[in-house]
Amino acid sequence: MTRDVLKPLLMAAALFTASVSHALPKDGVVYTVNYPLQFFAEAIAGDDLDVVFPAPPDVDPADWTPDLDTLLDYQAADLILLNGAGYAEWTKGVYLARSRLLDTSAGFKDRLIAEESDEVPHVHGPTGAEVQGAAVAFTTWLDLSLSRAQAEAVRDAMVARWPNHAAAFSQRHAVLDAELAMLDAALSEALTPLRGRHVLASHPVYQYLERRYGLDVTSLHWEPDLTPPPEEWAALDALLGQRAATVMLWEGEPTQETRAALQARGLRIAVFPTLSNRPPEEDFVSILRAAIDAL
Amino acid sequence: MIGAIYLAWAHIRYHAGRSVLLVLIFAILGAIPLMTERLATLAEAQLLERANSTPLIFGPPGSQLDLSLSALFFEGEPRAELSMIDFATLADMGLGTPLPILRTHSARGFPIVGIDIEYLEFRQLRISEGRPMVRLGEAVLGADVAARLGLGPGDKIQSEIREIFELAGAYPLRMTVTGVLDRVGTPDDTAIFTGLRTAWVVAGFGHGHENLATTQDESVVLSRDEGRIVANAKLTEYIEITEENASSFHSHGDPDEFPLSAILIDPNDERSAAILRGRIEDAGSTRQVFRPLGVVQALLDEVFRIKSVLNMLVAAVTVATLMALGMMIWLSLKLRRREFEISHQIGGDRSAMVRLVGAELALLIGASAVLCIALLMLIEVFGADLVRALLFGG
Amino acid sequence: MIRIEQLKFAYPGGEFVLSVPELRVDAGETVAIVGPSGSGKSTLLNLIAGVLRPGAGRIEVDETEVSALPDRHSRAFRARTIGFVFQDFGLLDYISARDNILHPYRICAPLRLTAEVRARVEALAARLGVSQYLHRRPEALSQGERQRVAICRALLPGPRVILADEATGNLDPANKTAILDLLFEAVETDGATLVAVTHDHELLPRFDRVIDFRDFTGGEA
Repeated sequence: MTRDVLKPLLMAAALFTASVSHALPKDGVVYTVNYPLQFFAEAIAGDDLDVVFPAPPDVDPADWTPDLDTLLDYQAADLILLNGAGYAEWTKGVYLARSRLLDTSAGFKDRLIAEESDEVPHVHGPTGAEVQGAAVAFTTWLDLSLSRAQAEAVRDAMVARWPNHAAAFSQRHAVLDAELAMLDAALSEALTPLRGRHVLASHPVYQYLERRYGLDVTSLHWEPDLTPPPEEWAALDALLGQRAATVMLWEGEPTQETRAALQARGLRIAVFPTLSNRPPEEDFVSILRAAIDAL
Repeated sequence: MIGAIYLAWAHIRYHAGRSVLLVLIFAILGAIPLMTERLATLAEAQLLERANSTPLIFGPPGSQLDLSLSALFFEGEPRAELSMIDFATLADMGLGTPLPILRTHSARGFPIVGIDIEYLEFRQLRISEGRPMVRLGEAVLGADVAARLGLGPGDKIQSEIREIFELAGAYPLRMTVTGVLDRVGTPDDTAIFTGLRTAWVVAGFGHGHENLATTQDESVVLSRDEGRIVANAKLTEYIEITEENASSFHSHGDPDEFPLSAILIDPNDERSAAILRGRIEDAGSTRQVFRPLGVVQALLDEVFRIKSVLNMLVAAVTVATLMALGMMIWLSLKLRRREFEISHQIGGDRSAMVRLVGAELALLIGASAVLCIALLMLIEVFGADLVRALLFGG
Repeated sequence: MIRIEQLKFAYPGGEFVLSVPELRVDAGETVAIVGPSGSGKSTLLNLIAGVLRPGAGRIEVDETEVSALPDRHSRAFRARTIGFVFQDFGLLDYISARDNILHPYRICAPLRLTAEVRARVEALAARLGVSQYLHRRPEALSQGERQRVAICRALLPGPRVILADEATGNLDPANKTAILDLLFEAVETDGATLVAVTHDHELLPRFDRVIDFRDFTGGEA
């Protein structure tokens, strides 16, 4: 009887507290350029700060450019979290307060993975200088040790900017870090059977996953929502003829035809979302956990 | 006495030209020293205020005065002997907020100043019309620039073609005005502010052009192989950054070495300022950091030393002018000798002539005093704006 | 009205000596003084008016020993009693004819400018034919008109003695006659005594008496 009364009362109290805390003005606004950073920032900031990742849910943030109003919102933010590693090229062409920008991968620039670029460099005149800055892979958060480093950088920046919340930020970060560490260990264990083995990938987005967990990945350029044409299948067959593979990583669920054709070739499909944009349901940790479980 | 005033006024009106001249001369003699003193005081205050509002300036070795004039007042030939490496070094120290400045070309007579967004916050420059610059190729105008050129949000302003920083062949850049700043009565009113990246493009450290990998015009390509494409001088660079071509803008060379003219520093506190200055001094003589207030104060002290000499000259001129005026008045009285004789002959009081001449002088000097006071009041009302326009006007 | 006895006068530093043993002018008499230039005729008028003080002798005007008056009293006496008319008219070019006529009332302490005085200006101007010129400055008047205005100034206080120093000297013949007519009319109407220095011999017959300065030991010794 008491429990029947208490439980609704507790729930009502929790809801009331939540609504009150949401109604209280936040101490600042944090903008991010991708979903992983938003997740980390929200986990650390709790209700103390507003965390905004304004990209529409149906775009790839790596290819997205904010409109003017959104750019002005970024400019007005108290802290702007960049992924670094060449992510969000649009930030190079806009004016954001340098002192409020944080490159969350600045601490491990030496661990960024160079990428082959299709672009042919140019110079002006035979002795002209080339454009500096080699292309690097940017899905750093798929290496969960780098995720932890990025989350730590986010914590440090928030503590510096809002020292009055330092204790709360640190506490929440500790919880997040523990979760990421567990995920890192779980992913490492789940991918152990594939260590050193040839694995295919639908797109070149798993470089950091590959390195961290000892995979040997060959990337194609296949879209999950499209069935590849015959010539692509022929190329795949040629590749498999040279190097066998039994697993193909996909950012999203491939078409039925693709799935069937792959399975016919002895390939098991492992959907491992890159999580660059916010998922319609669940969150960074829960989706990764599910992907790991599926592995 | 009324009779004397009546006659004095009639005499003044009859010799109106001479009377006006005397009034003007007396007024100018009285007002000029006071006006110049007041204007000098206002100028000193405004110059010092600008310097005082800037805690520290970081720059290359050399004249601190030149550097102060360039960084604070955007005066003098643009120089850029710092680089982004210096900025990174200062930022890494964490002892304050470094505010980079790049003085580059000018546009329609007004200096183009490349800044970070924080500069606007540091100087408390608010947008009165439009919005801040946020994209490459955008600029905001100081209030006087906008007023004098009749420009506002949406208009274009193009940099002047000039060889600067020993970079030949820099194209002009047409920038889009996105906003106009509130008038603040400082040199910021007469500057065109744009982001550093745009300023580097203006200075020739960045450009945009068609994609050479996909161009249909092979005449712009000198050579092409798998490793790289060499463009020739025929390749046309864009002179305006648009939404369509913005992504094509890039820089060759190491971005860390891109130039800066000076870096203003807003230290976290006095202790941080002291530590920072110590570190820079310890690092050697290739860089310096100083308080511009002391530099500007020293300049003003020199100027006012000269001013005291000028004051003596003014005093000498004043004495000479008064003597000339005295001569003029004496001659005037001599010309009235017959009037005084007549007055005597018809029984006029001895004091009547004295009162008449005295009343006339009193009226003239009184009018001069009124004019002098009016001039001084004008200076009180408009002096600050006049000084600002003279000091910081474009 | 005017009595001079044993008058001697010399300008400081000069060799000129004016000596008049005796001279009498009766009230209402018109006397012309003639003589060569530099003989002291104008000086005599100034002595009679008290402008100059004699070295010796006695000058009495209207029973007042003018030669013994202190300066302030001499000016006051002159303002009330003497009406001066000058060859160059003596008008102030920066005030109107009306203000010139009123001038003595602005600079002579004994004379008070009242509404009655202003009214008399109008009557006097009408009498001397200058009413329509009162608002003009002297530079806008002819020489005859200027002298009429000067005579108005001299007559306004109602002087007992009119001293005219070459009053017609700068005028054409028609104006000379007209001005002299005005002076004689004032003598007749106001009962004044007229002493006039003149070079115009055509006018001499109109005077009651002519004094030739050659009869005095004036001029250079």
